[in-house]
Amino acid sequence: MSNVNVTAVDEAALTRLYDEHARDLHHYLARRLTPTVADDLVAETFLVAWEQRARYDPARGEPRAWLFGIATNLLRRHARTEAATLRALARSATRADRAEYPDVASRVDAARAGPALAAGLAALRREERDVLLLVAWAGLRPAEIAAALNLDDRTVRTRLHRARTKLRTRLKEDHHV
Amino acid sequence: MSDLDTRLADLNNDVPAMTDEAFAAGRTRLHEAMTTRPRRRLPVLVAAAAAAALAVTTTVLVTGEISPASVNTPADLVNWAQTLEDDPPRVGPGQYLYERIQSTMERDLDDDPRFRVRSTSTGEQWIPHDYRDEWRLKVGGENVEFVKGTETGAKAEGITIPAPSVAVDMTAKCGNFAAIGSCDGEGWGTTGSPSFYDKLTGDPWRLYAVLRDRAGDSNGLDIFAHADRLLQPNVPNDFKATLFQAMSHIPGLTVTDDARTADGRTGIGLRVESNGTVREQIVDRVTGDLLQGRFKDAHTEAIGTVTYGVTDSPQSRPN
Repeated sequence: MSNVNVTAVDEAALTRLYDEHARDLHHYLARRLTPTVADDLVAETFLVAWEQRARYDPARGEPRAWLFGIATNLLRRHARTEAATLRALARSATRADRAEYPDVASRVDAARAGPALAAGLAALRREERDVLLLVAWAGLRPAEIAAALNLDDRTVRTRLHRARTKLRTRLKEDHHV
Repeated sequence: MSDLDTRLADLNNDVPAMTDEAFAAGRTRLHEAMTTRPRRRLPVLVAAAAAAALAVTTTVLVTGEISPASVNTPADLVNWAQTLEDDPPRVGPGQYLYERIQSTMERDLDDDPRFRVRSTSTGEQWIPHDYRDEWRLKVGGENVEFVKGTETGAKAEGITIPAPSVAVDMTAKCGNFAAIGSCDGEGWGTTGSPSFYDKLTGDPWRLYAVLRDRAGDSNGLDIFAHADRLLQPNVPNDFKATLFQAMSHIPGLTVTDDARTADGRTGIGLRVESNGTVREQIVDRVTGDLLQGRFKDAHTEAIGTVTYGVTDSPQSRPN
């Protein structure tokens, strides 16, 4: 939820949106790509937002979702980088958060699941991965994603369902679920 | 949250955060993109203020009017600074920009809080329309009084008693009162030439890099201090616009819309505080002129309030 009440995107509004959301967007993009590429993509996201400001419709959702939609579209130019990131993750043991996995056994299991999860993400179709990660990493609701990516709500839910099913299957095969 | 969601949430969640430099660079790119089209300006208010300043040739102090947008964040500061660009100079040929600074400083002698003095002084400056002409500087004698302890007590403790500064009244071409260098000097501590300011105008991020380099590190207080030295009364408005946009990048900068000077005027407050040391400016909303500067640390507090006007000679004052 944005703290910036935007009914029309002008210079002041977009500057406020940058101040509020740039770091959030960067975190999302850095997880999917690399921090350095994310630096550029955050800036590009806002440049595109400025160019497309007339298209922003507050009735269709929060400006935060609109910005994540633009960023996700820009991500497509970096498919190779994302694939490389996911491959690297699949090879390495992810660090399990101690708060989420308080006991040693859970942490070990989660650490083992990380590479399988990354490999599963890499195997998803790009459209499925976009929807899944906009939910999981950006915290968007399916309706917001539909508006942000200019998709039908049912299409978003279908892609989300397929992505989850594929990932669960992958983790089951690797004995992590 | 399902097990899958939990594991997804954890995956690659510890990436490095966006650096302040990347954040500022992105913000600058955005700002530059937004300002390539004709800017949305405040032509009526700004033009009216400038015209009023030009029309009143001798007597009226230049004061700001209230422009409508609030200025409470570094982002607001960037937007507001753009309203300063392209405004016409307020001093016409043959006229002088008059500046009066009322300074008050309290300090602990030899950093001993038992002995604190307050010194006050008034400085005046007449700046000609043509930078290379004769300027006049007049500073009254310093008045010093003890606000804690006594002079006798301080002497008994071996505390150094400072001698009050004496009055000066001098003139110098291009404001080069220290007679250092030429009229084409840089404006770090002395008055800079127009070409000096021209070179620093137009690219806020580059100016910020210059300020940061001169400060020697990314300490907000030091960068602020260097920016403060550049806010001279006769600098062009487009330079001031660049300067304030550059200042928006200073780490720890806070901006307030309704800061009040010691003599009761309001303006935009810019402030950096670190480990008990504070640097502040209050600037006029319309002209960007410095209305008040303030410095405070553990043993010193100095405030200078500034007023401006336009005169026809270096001997006259605005009413």
